[in-house]
Amino acid sequence: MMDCGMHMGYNDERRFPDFSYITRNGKLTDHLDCVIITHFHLDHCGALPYMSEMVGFDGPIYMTHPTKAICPILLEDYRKITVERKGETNFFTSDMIKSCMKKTVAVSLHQTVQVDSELEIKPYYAGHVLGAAMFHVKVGSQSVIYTGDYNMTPDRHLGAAWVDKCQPDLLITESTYATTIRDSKRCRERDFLKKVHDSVDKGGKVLIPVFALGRAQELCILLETYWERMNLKVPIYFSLGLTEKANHYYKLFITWTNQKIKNTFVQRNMFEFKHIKAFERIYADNPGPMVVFATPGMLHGGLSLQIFKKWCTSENNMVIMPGYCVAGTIGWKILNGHRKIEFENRQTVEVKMSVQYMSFSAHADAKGIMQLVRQCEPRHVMLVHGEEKKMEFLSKKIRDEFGVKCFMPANGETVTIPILHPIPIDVSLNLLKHDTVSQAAQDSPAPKRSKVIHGALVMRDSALRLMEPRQAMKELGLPEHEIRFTSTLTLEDDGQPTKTADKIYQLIKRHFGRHSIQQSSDGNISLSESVLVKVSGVDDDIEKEILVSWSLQVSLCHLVKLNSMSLVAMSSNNIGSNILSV
Amino acid sequence: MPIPDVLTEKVNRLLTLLTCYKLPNDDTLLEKLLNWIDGVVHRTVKCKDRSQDSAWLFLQDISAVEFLKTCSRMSDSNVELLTFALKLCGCVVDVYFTELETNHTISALLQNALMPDHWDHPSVRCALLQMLHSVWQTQTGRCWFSQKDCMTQVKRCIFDSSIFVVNAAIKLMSLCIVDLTNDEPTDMDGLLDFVMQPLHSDTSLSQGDSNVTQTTVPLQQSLAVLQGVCKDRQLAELLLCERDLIGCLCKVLLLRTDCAKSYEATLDLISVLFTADAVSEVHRLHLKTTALSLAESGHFLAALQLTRRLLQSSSETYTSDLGLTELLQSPLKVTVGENQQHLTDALWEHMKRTLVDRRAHTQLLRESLTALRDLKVQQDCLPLLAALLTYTQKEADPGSSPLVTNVMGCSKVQQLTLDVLCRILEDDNLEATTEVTLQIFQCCVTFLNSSLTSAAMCGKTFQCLCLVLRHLSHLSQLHPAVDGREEEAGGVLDLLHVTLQRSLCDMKWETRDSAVEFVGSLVSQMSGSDVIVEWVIDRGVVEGVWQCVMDGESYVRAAALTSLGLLSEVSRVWEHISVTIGQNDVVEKVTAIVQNDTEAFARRAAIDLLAKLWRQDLVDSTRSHDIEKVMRNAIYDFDWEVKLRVLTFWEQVQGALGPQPVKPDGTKRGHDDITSVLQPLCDCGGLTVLLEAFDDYDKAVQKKACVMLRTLKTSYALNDIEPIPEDAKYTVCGQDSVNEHGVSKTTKKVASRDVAEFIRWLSSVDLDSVCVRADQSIDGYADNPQSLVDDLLTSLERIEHMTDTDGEESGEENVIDCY
Repeated sequence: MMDCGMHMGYNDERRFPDFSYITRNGKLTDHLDCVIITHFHLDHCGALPYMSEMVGFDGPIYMTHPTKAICPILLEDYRKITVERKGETNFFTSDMIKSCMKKTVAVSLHQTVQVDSELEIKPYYAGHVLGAAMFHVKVGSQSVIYTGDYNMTPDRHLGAAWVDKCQPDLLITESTYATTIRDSKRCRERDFLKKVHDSVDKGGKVLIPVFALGRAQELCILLETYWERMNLKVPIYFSLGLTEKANHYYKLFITWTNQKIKNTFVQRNMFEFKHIKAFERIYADNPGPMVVFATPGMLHGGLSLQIFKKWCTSENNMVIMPGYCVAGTIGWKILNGHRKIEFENRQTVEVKMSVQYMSFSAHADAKGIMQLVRQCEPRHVMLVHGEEKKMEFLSKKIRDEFGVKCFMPANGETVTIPILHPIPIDVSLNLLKHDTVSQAAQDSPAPKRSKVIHGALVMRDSALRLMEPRQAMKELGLPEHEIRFTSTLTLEDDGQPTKTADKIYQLIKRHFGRHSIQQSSDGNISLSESVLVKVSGVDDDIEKEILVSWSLQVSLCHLVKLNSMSLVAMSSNNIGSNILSV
Repeated sequence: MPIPDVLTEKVNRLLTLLTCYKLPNDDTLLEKLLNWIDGVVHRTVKCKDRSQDSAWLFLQDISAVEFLKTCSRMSDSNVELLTFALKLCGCVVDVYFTELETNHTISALLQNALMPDHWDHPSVRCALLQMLHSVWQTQTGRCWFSQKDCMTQVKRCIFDSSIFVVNAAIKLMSLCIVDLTNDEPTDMDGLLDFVMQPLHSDTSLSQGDSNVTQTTVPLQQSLAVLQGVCKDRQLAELLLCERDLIGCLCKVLLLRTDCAKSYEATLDLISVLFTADAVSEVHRLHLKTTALSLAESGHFLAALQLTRRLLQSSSETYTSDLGLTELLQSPLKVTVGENQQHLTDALWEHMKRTLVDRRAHTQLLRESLTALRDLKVQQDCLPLLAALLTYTQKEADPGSSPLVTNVMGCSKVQQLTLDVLCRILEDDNLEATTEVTLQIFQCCVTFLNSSLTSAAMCGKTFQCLCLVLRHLSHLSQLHPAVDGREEEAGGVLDLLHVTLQRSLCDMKWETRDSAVEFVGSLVSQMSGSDVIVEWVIDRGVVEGVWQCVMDGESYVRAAALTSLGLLSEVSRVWEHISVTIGQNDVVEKVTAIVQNDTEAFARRAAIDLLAKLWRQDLVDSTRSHDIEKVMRNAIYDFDWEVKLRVLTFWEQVQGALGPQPVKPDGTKRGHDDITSVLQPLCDCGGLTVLLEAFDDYDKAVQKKACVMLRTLKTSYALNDIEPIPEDAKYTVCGQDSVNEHGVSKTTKKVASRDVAEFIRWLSSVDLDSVCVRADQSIDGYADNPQSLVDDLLTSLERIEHMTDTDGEESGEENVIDCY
């Protein structure tokens, strides 16, 4: 099972996957060898405790070290949000989260993990958020790469995704931005900073709802750098408790950040911010400008909503939504232009503050997706995590540019992908040498052009070898039989048969001088020890019989192609112009 | 609740806009709206007097029929709109069938859906089936259903590539068959013939699903439909008697052992038949014969799976049918070298040969153990399971095992074995021999000492260990003086001590966590055992737990704090803690965790421990005051569960400090009297906590505070006190902003120190409505129809605006659409 996420738009049974499609009876352990979690976003791991503790799965759950450390925090946060909703009786508890995390096995980047005797997995760096990974899953000679969410562009604290040229049979890639190319990151950042600066300059307060961990750190670095450069004194706050926690994890997993962060870490920790302080609730009532990062990210409860309620009536204030908001949340409503928001106590508030949306989510854009396909050279591609129309467009691009099939199944659809099974065969050295020599003799082969090689395929003890037929027969103890073709022609030539033979000998020698041509004492001619020419007849008889014999092998190799129709009757005067075509 | 007129207008506007513009990408709002409309229809269908029913009036006023008529006539391909229209039609057809069909709207929608461009989309097929499902359920709709030959489309969907479509088709077909049983038996027979086609053809069964044609329904789908049908007992009996369903299923079981899904589906159907109580003894015998035939032909896994279902059908079968029971246990018996009693020698030998293959061995063991676990077997399996556990333990150490190491995936087998053992050992009345319990104990200890044991296994092993020690204790084997087994008892405890210490210091936090939890569970369950208590005290176990309170991993710290709480409940242990560690140190350390720990799990557990120490009066008065101070400040924590626990503590304080609202002589306490009884609560900061929590942004915390205040108000009959006038409040409190709950900063400040002010505030605030608001969920608001419709209108009006101004729809700023 690749990822196990929840749907944030629903708060009933539809928020979790329907595991009855795997089995209706008992635990999932018998039907799944393992679960892989790519990163800690809830749409990828939110259903994990439900699956492992409530439905039942006792097998291993693989994820990277940072993901294992951070998952419980987000799951707890999600639990808390859900408790505030009705109908949450069938929901996982804190103990279930702990029991679930006990089943997880942390893996390192590029570490090949043998799940069992057949199945192995290997994670690759995906960017996107701290600890995100793409997984290469292999069974025998077949493999799949599942990307989860990834970013092919490095940002301020994470590197770019990268994967081996492993040529998987299938690449399952996200396609969130299937038809878009992101503009310069710098433009977006400049725009963001300008908006914040303008607002605080006017004495306004800026609220930035974020999730605890993830893109928030990117924005913190951005603001910190700017504040330092511009020598600004306006306070910036981050939710208490989460600052230290985030700092702790980013320090702990510094090797998962980008090179710049790692290099700078020796002098100073980029996640220890001079200008960003811990926030306390009472600060929300303080006069004067400030910037506050508060959770949760969609204004659907908690501190961010509390602050929003206090600040939304002032035109000087601003809220910047840096990420996706589920339909129906307050965040979604204000982004869609609602200016009167009704809260749960029937209190209606007029939203006068400025509402801005600046996407800082780190997904690969269309260029990035194509780059990944180019990088790993899959035989088939499957698009997931996107919108149908956009996926259709990208799918066509992939088919046109790479010539591979591209699938985009709808939810619930089964796709069957036929895979050619490569069978490894050892080729005997003798055969290779022999073939190389004979092909070199024919023409000068282009080094990279594929060549045909002929041999006998021998299977012994489940191992396959391609070898020369003679060698195969010897090994197998089989007697060799030779098939020869014989054709008899009639030729008019005066003189003795031996003289005719001499003439033919000279002719052959002229045209096939490269080959080994011999004439025996009785006049018989042999060409490369495979083709025999024998002339017989009566001395006085003008008609001579030419017997040409060649082996099957020669016929296949086209060394000798005897076409009796092309045998031209040799005139006594002009044998030279008649060619015994070979 | 009546549906407001403004909502009707908005819904009508929404329906108009939907026909003009592209639907929003996120369909969750539309789904929720459809759910709501469905609910409205259901309400009105049940209502007797519709003329006064606002739901009925709402349905009359909205232009759903017009909308559907418009959609059915739209010639351009708008899949999303068609899908929505089909679903909406399904919702309202119960009420509007006649009007819709008079205009041929439903027929037109059907034709629209069948157009190739639309039919290609699984969402359309699914929505169509939902609509047909609803149509079928209206009595008048069935004629239409038959006239339009809708069953052909349903049959078509049985072969679909989308599992949702297939399931919807199966569900509908099952419903039709059940409903037709009495009304149209001929039609029902025809459908059953179609459904049971694959069961009757040996060729089809042996060739498998890959050779399914478009006319032969795949076996799995056939079985799924029959599962739905056989829930009806009458039909189940009819199928069993007239169509020899059991015979067909037995044939499937014998021919399709290679296809796990078909096999499982067949077994599911058998389970359904048993649940419907339709299976006779003859049928049961037939199934049993099939199970034995499968075993004899070497398909042991299949045989075990069938056996499990048979045994699950009745607990009597398990105890009385020794042949089947032994068949189920056979992999275990062969593994540990036991002999069989009720099966044939040939079968036994065949089983032995099969188990030489590692994969087969593991599979069969797992199947057998899963069955034993689910069947909740009795204690007679205990020796067998103990022997298996020993075997798997030797498997992990190949050098020592005299047997061929051929059990792959040993830990999965071990996990299952432990699962089953735990179930059996939970029985307090278990009569287990010493040898068996010692054997299990030994295995558990060996697993825990092995570096190969996974974290999940570790947890289960500790759990099993805790249970098995209970039974060892019951046997008094741990008591040194009994039966001369002093050495053995001492040996057991020594071994336990070494294992525990090792686990408490393990590198993996999961192991440390399980070990520390084990200590708490053990002491809690065996607090009456002197031996265990002495062992905990003498062997430094308490100190080990105390060390874990300072562990680097928050889960371990939390578990250690919880265990410490359980240990404190045993007086001798608490005395020991007071002497060796010291009450002061304990309180200080735990307080520091509450104040400084970065992880909420640890802070929660720390709060629980402090509350327990206070409640059980385990600390002196100075320390009690310290605890109260910590609990005052902890209300400002960011974690909602920490705050809830804090409130629980103060609830206890309230209960402890506050006397009865009624005097001993039966009279109510007066105002001044109440003031004096609440003063202690005020002095220790309880009122501050309540007011802060009442103003909290976490609803759960707010609600709890509200409930506590309401209790306070009711208990002391504060309702009888005349509230102060509003302007008087401002005079007392000064000019100050008052939040929606009437709690101003100054009120909080003053009322938390001045009981009289508190009482005045409490008597004036409407706690009931605050409780109701706190109880409302965000979704309760977000999912209400007004909000849903407003959100949808906003999306569509934006699209309308963009279309009018020739703007492009942009999902994001600063993103260039490159194509």
